[in-house]
Amino acid sequence: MQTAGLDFSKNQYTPIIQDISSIEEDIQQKINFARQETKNLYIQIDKIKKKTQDADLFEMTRKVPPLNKKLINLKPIVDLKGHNNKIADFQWSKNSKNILSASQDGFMLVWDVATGLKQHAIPLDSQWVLSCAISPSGNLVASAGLNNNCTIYKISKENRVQQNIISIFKGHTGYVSSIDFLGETQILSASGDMTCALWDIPKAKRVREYTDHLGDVLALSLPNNIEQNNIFASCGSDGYLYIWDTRMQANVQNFFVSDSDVSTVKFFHGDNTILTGSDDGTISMFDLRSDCSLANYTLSVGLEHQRGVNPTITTNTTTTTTTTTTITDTYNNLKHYYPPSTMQYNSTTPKSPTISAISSSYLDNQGVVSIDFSKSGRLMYACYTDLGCVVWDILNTEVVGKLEGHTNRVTGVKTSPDGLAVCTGSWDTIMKIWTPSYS
Amino acid sequence: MSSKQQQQLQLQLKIKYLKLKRINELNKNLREELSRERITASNACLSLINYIQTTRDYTLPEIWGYPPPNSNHFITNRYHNNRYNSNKHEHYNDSSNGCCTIM
Repeated sequence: MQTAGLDFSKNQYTPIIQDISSIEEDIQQKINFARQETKNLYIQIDKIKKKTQDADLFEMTRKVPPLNKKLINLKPIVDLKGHNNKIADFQWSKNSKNILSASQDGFMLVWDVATGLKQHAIPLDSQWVLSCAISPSGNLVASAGLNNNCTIYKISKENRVQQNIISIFKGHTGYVSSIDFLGETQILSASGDMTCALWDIPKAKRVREYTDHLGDVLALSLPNNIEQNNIFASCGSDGYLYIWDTRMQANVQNFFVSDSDVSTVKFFHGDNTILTGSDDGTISMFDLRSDCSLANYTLSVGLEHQRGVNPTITTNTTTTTTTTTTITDTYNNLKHYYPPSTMQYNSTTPKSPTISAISSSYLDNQGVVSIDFSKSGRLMYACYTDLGCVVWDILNTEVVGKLEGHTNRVTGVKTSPDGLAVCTGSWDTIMKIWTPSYS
Repeated sequence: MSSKQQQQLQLQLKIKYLKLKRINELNKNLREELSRERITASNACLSLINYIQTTRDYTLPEIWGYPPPNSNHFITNRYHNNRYNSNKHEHYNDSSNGCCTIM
């Protein structure tokens, strides 16, 4: 903006008082004018957004047949056992053959998924790890957590148990909540210091900071096709979802998600759509092309659909045939089929108004921890704080099943890059691999 | 007028100037947002539905059936591995069928 070549350098006492006040008036006028323009722009943007948001996903899916049989072909085939504390985070390798896991026992392990055997163990600097990542080639792994650092290790082919650190990135002033490799030479990190950062591994330094968040950044997600899209998404306790161009400091798109913490974010297949999970239990779908929200998923709504229908997908033999069911019954059914991992609300409690009141507040208090999708994206796997890993039909907003088997809180669910298998990790120290069986 | 007063005035001016700069920056961003190409949400939904309904997904036997034999490397490899394990098991532990021995 041109302001008549104002020079505020030192030793310039010449301007007369009238000059200053006239300049001031001039600027004030420009400010007023600009403010008016801001207002108009907001109104116009609002109008355009309302115009593009002409439908939501559920209006468009009325003709899609629901999954009547609620058959979900996912059988647990391998338990990855070896950690002796909570699984903090894990990630599939790009070839879908290995999994890297980080646990609070102070180790990262590289697993061969086919055999369920451990290939490498990496002792960690700090056991308070929150996130881990494996590079596309599988040669590098990284850990980050409460020590505010992001540490890069090289996987040694000869040595099975080795801590071969090649870089320690210090610079965040808060915990590092989430990391992911951007190719073999760069890594992205999200932190509780309200920033995301891009680090260069060979240069051993930070190359960019992304600073628009106004709260802790809790998660980041890379697009499925990183080669074509130079973007990533981050979400945080400010309730916002930001889309960044990795090459630019300012965000390129943003969405207001929720008044509560947005704790997880994940690109959908095709990279045009993003789903977020919030602490209030809502999962929201946003589309980058139409720049608006397309759908919301909340448990109380998702379970209403299955009134009187047996929702179980596992070999659970308990069946209840209720002809007339109410929402209260739905909650009780829910408690029956989806018992929480804590003993507080047991599945055998009798039906009573008080109990249903508890269970509805129980549903409301389920934060979303992690989300991922089946190969087509029809199924969405969502981990809730105490409820475990619930399976949604993404087109019909309906809970169609649950991945059951863990004995403690499920901390993450991730689909393999080839889409054939799903891995769930838990505080019970185990990771389970689920895959479609032949018949 | 003292130089102190003058400095005060100049400072105020500077602050106002910065304020203006920030508002103009915001306006620039808003104009960019306004000029962003958008498709309608209904079309976004349709393309999403199309992707979901045309991608083969064996987690849904109701729609896509079951995977053809030996097509799932997670199971195939697992099977070989199991056979390997059970052979080993037999070798070391011929007489017992269980996996545990109570001492």
